[in-house]
Amino acid sequence: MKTNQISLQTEMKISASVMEALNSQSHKFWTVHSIFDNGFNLQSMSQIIYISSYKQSLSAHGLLISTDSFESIKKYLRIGNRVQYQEDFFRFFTHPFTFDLKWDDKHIIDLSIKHISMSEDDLIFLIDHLAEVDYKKQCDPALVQKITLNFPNSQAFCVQSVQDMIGMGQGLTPSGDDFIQGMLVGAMLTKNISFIKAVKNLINQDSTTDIAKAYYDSLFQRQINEPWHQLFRAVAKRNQKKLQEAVNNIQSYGASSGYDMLYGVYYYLNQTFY
Amino acid sequence: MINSVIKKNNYQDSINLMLLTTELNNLDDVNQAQVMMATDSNKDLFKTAGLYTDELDAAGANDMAIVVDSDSEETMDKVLETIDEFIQKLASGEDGGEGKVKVSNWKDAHEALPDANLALFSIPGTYAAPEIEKALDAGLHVFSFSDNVPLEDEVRLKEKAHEKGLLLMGPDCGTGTISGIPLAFTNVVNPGNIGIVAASGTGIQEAATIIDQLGGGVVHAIGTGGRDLSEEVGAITMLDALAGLEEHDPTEVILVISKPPAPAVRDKVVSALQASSKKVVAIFLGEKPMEHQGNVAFAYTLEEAAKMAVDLSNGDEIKANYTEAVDVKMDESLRDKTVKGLYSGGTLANEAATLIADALQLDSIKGEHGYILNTNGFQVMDLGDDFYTQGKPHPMIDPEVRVQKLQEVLEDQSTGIILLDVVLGYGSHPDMAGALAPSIKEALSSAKEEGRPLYVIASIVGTKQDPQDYDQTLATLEDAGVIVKDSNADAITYALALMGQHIEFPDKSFVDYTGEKLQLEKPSQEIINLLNTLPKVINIGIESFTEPIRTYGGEAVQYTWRPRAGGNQKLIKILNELDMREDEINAENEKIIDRFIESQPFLVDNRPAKEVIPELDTDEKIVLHAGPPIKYENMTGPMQGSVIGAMLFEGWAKDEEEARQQLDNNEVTFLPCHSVGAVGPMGGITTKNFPVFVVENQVDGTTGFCIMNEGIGEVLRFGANSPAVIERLEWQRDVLGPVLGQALREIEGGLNLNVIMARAIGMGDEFHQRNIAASLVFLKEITPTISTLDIDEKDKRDVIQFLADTDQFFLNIAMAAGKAIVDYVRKEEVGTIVTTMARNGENFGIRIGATGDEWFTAPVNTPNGLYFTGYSEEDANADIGDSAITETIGVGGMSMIAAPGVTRFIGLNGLKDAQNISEEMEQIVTTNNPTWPIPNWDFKGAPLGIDVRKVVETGITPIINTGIAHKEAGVGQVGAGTVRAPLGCFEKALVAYAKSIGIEVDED
Repeated sequence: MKTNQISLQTEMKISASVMEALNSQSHKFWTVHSIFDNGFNLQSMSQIIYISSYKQSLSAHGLLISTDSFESIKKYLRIGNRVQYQEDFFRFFTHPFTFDLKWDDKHIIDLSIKHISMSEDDLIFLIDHLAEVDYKKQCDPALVQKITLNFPNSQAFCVQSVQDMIGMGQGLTPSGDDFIQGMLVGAMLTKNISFIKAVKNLINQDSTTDIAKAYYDSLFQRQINEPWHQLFRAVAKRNQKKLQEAVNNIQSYGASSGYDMLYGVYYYLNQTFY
Repeated sequence: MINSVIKKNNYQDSINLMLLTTELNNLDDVNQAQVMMATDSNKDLFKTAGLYTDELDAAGANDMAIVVDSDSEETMDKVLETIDEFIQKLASGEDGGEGKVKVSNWKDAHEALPDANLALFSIPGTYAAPEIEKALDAGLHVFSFSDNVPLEDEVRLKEKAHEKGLLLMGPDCGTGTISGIPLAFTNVVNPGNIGIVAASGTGIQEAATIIDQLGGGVVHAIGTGGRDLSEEVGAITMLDALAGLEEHDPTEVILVISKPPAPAVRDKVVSALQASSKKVVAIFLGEKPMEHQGNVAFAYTLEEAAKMAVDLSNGDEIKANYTEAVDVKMDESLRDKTVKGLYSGGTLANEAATLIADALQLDSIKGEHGYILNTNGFQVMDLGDDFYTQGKPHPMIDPEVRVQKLQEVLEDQSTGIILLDVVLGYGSHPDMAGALAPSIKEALSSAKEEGRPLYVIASIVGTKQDPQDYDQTLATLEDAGVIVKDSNADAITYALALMGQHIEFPDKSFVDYTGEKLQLEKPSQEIINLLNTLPKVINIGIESFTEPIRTYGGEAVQYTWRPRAGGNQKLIKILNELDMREDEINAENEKIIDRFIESQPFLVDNRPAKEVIPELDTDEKIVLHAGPPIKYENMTGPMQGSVIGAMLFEGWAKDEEEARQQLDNNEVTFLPCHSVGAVGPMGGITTKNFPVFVVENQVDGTTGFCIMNEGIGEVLRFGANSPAVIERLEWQRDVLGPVLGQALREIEGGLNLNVIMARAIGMGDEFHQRNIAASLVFLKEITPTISTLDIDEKDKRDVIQFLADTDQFFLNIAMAAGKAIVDYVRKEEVGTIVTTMARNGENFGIRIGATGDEWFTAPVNTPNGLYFTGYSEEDANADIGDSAITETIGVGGMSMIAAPGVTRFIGLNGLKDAQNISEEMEQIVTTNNPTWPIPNWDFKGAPLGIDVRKVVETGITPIINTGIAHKEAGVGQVGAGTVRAPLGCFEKALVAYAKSIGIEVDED
């Protein structure tokens, strides 16, 4: 007889902030919010966590599980399915199987950028490297057009300039948000607290998608996806090769999300320094 | 005018028939149409509707009856076209998708899904109990959508299920979910950690869909049937289900729902819930709990129960109160008005009646005609009650009764609010909101014109995953002016608030439970397996029930069920008794089958009949005839014509007149061929000087005799007796018979007929209607020997030419072979296998193993086929001849697949139709005969061993390929075709067999 309960064993790599969120709400139910080829989002009230396989890099609000486990679950997972978290396992209720996902080892990764500090030289090194990317070709064309429109004279930006870019674009992470999140990374590296606060005030319940908001939330908590940490380390060590690898990793996010965000960082830093 | 059409042996399930009825009633010019199986109880319904006809009167339980009242004569053409399209669509599986497995009996169902663990029944309740028992005996859990099962049967079956460690969900279990897979009339609900056990169908649907809307999920929803918590049943299923959920790890919360239970049984269930390790919510409809007790949170409404269950499933505490303030002010114009509830869901109607009665302090008494409440103008109707659904579709499928009731309640000037439910999910109407909307709009518009207040308030029982479009349903209702609330309870409280009435929902808190706790036994391994695996379902009845099972990950095989023995209770009882002795009977039949298969018929000689049949070696006038015994005066024209021809041939009479005088004077004695070791085609008339083939079954020397074939057209066996006919017979007596006899005696051991038949069946013969290949093989085998005989050369030429010209020559040899086989078989007097089939033009007679020489007869049918130019069906004689011996041994019509061309005689079209016929015949036989493998059938052997049990069970009778004689004496053959053996003789044989082994048989 074909059992309806499937037990899966996995390694797990989890962002420290996600671990904290899960532990703060024992016996918590999540709902499948969205499903992509490389991952799926679970939602509980306003909280989102992103689960993907070890083939991917760790998201600031995510966790990684083994590729086999990920593929087994994803095959049956549908938006709206319930997922139960208990101390040592996730239970996915799907049609027709109940998957119990347990882990042998869990690696908790701190993706905070609170402790990261960059010198002016570091930032210039980074700007120079990012300047080599052809953003106009790789980014969402609507975004490029919008930037030209919002910043006509290459003037220093203001918060109002980005306001109508929130939620702009298609998909679950609109390109306008990706760009702004890049700018926020730039602001964090340059410690422009007022800009961060101003943007934070602009993000409300209905301004953009749940997933984009989850990324904003992570950023406001000074949490950022793992490839950015690789990028910062490469900058600190002036390691061009590692830097390019990190940029490549970031660029591989979504259709144009990675480029859009890199563009935001580059645009912000470039405007700030030049 | 009233027209009726009877589709013989065309069983369809009730839902299909109801859908077809609806389709016919939608045709232009149809005043009224009804389609039902012609059972006795349905005939009463036709009578009540004024649709009774003579054709319907003559129809049987396996016949589909279509009766149409229309003013237009042309309408029937459209009706027939619609029916054919509908049936064709069903047959081609258009409604159900591709790749479905369909079977028509239990054996095939088990073979198709060997590890099935659940049987889903949706067959008429009259027949359900024995079928459910079979499923339980086969180790299957049962989900019985079927209702109207007698209470005593339910008790017995549930006790049996319990003893076997199986769950019997139902009878009258409308809905359920196992491992998240929807069963029967069911919503698609997100899976989760809540398990429901409910003695209430729409109770499950309402609670589960609210749970889904609240973000919760249901892993199992086990329906028990509405009577499970009665005193008689004692909650057998509910307690077993609870025991199962107790051990089911993903189930963290149990929700119990019950229609008003027997008090003692209710307490027993509660005591079991108190002992549960899971969190428990319970609702006993009609009870207004004022507190929670021990481990159990008690709810008043289904919505409250669902909310509590979701809270518990999320790890939250039960709240003191789940009532939300109703955001509406009283409408003063409703002051003297009443509420009318028009429900399709019985439990929802119950809930409405309870809440309205509570708020208005009314007596809530279930009344007649489906009223749950009928007090002071306040009415709540369960339109799914038997009163409304006798012979009609359920209101979840068909909006008609609700549309009617809408008009009726509108005519009642006191009506101020109409409450409705719209139930989505598998099985329900594809767009009930759309179907009701025009009537609702009209009602609201009329009320507005009359200046009277009218509100229509509804709730939708459904989820966004249901096959219907939830959002569209909502939009359609709102567009029609309906106020749509989130739940039935919401709708009712809103309606009451509009009338200025409010239901008290006091806060509840937990108190200790001080009663005894009932520790349930550990569940059986079978129940644990059911709850921890994906269901593999044998679906018996409504085919569409397989769709959600397959869609959501289960497996299902469709068992296209027909009433056993055409619904004849006496025969069903016998078959049930025989089922209990199945192994013993099968072992007996095996002996018969072995004898069929080991038979070695050899054609050894051709002799005058009197030399090999002692009864004919006399100076008395003895005439052998086909079929069971018959008197001369009862013989049909062709047989009488043959008798006269034989008398002329023997020289007993100089002309027909003298022959008739002798017959009138009883000078002639008649015997069936079968009683003297012979068989004869058509009339079968054989007298002393007819040359006969001698076939010897070399296993033990049993012989079989048959006269020789005369060709086609004007021949004696078809009743012709002209001088030309007599002259041919004389030539056969003087030349053909002696030459063939001499040649056969020259061949050492004779001709091995198994070999000839095995070769010819591969060349397209079935040995009844088509014998050309076997005739050629015979010619090939016999000609060399004939050529060496020391006889007149002209005789040689004439004999060989006759053999070459006579395509059907081998038929009579095959018949003699059949007789040599069956008479060997019949020496073992056991079992239920048919050992003889023969017809005398008046009756079709059969004999079976256990009852030896006893004939069981029923009036013959008239063949259906093609006619020679100048003749038609009106000229046809009834079925006649011993040639059905070929079908008895498994060839002829049984092996139609070997000779697909024969299907053209009956308007069919070759290979596929031939295969269908042989596959149908396979359903009534025991095995396939490896002696005669059929290449067209992937070398499967000819179907062998017609079992009267199977014939009676299925209503499928053997199909006989046959020539057609003119009904008047002297004309001869006028066509060829097929004919069905009548069921009656098999039924009589079954009764006799049952009596012979000591089974008590009911009198008719």
